[in-house]
Amino acid sequence: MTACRVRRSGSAATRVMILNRTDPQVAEKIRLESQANPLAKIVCEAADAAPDPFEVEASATGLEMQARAPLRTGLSNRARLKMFSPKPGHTLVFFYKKSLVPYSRDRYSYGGVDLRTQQIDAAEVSEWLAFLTSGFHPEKRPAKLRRAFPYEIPE
Amino acid sequence: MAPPATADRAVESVPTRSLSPCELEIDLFCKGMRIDPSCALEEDARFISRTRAGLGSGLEIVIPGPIKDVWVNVPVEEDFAQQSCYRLVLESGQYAVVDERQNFRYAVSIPPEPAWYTRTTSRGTPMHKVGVLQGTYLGIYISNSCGFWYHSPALNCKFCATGLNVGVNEVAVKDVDDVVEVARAAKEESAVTFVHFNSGYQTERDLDVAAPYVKAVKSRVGALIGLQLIPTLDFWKYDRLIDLGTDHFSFCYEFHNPEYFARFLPGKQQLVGQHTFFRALEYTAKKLGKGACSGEIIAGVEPLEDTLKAIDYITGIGAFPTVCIFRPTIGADMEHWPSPRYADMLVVFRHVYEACRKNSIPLDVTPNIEVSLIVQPGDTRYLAPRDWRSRWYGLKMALAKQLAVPYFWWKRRPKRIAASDVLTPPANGGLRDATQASQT
Repeated sequence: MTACRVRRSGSAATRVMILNRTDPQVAEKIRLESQANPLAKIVCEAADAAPDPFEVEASATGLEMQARAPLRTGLSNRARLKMFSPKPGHTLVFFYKKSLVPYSRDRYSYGGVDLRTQQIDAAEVSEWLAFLTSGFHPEKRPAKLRRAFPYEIPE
Repeated sequence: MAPPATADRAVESVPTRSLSPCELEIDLFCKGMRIDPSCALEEDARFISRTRAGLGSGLEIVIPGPIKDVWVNVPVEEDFAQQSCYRLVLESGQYAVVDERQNFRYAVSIPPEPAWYTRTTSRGTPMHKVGVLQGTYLGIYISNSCGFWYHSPALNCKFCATGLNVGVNEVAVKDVDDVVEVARAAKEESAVTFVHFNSGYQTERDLDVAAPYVKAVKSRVGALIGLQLIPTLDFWKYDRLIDLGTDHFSFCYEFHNPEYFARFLPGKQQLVGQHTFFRALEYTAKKLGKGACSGEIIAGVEPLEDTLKAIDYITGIGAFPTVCIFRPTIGADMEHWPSPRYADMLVVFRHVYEACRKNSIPLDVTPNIEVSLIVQPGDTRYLAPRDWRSRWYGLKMALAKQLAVPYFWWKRRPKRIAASDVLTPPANGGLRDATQASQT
């Protein structure tokens, strides 16, 4: 497991659990997504404050985050969250795994959350991150998760 | 719903001889396979596409054999597959499945991706999002997901991932003209003979929704047509669909044991009823003749004796058993359940062979229908005892296959169909199993 870095701001130590936050492309991606959607900013801040590590995908559509905490089984954690807005005022949070086969374009859905507001409860974001960290364990499903999530999801 | 203890792989006996193609097929369904970096699947294979209940999430391979080649959709994405003793390798241009327990090597081939997978229909829809090859037939999920997933609380089948797929990997609503174009491409370029339509629960409009697709493909393309839908006791609808060109019905009742049916299939239990599956299967099997319809079950979850009873029941009414080896697919409620034990599944498929033989169910008589998602009854000929009964059955099937060639050629021609694709009951209200209706 990659050790988390510590960012020092004045005398306070802040754990930065988006492991690749200092990558210039990732930093720019987080800035742009946070600017475009206040909910993305909330999620990034929650991930930074979370006890478990995450990484942000710089090349994805929307804000895409992958859990980096290994699973109890020893297998790598494949859980991903994608947050995007199909239209202003409408945000979708999609939970999925990518295929293990390098050439496959398939994605494995675990459902999603449909948000029609620009505000969100911090506890709800914590649920999402815990769901990711667990590798999508059924007992960690967020309360508002819609398993049938019939939206076209961009890559 | 906690999963049972994981099947203990350590106590499984390691084969001391090479497995037959059917035995290997069964073991691959049970254990899955890892893909070695030597493989060049992006150049050689059909891309993996999860559709329907998620069973198609594996890698399609073909195991050559003296009786027949066996098509298998091998699990590669699930957690259990990552711990498999089987590994797919590419050595000197030849693919092989290696059993790392004793280093046995099985030569296999990888079916190439059809050219039409990368094309779009004239409406601009990617063809692979309309239908995919599963073995040598075209599978099309026709409707917008499954109604069981939209109940609150959800009533989805616990092994199923259908509600998780649509919209993510597939087009949610299939256009009839798109379906016709894809079926035509699959027939012309992939020699497809059979188009299989499947749907989740459509609130008692399941058969009505399918009708336009059946008529369009039968009349404009020409192919054998199969339907796998939630059943109804309005039997006149089956008559109408046969008029429109349906050649085959399959009924996924999954578990023979009523307690397992109720526990794992809450939607089917509450909104349909196990008896509806039985009555519809019995009606259509009688109507279309021996071997034309199938009862679909899952092996590896309910007790073995119930699976054997299911096989006896299905073959006893003249249908063929479609037995899926339980696959804990990604995202399903049962994702964390263990995959079945090979030794148990061997018992099941030996029984499939014996039950088909005793009831003279035709095996592999239809042209070019190889199903990769299940162990086909025809594959179980590799498990047959070497006695005169098996030889006699094999001879009868070989003869039936030859005699059926002109019949299936005629059945696969585009037909002029006068019947309407809007299903309306006959003047007398139509045949309905009224004695059973009150039980739903």
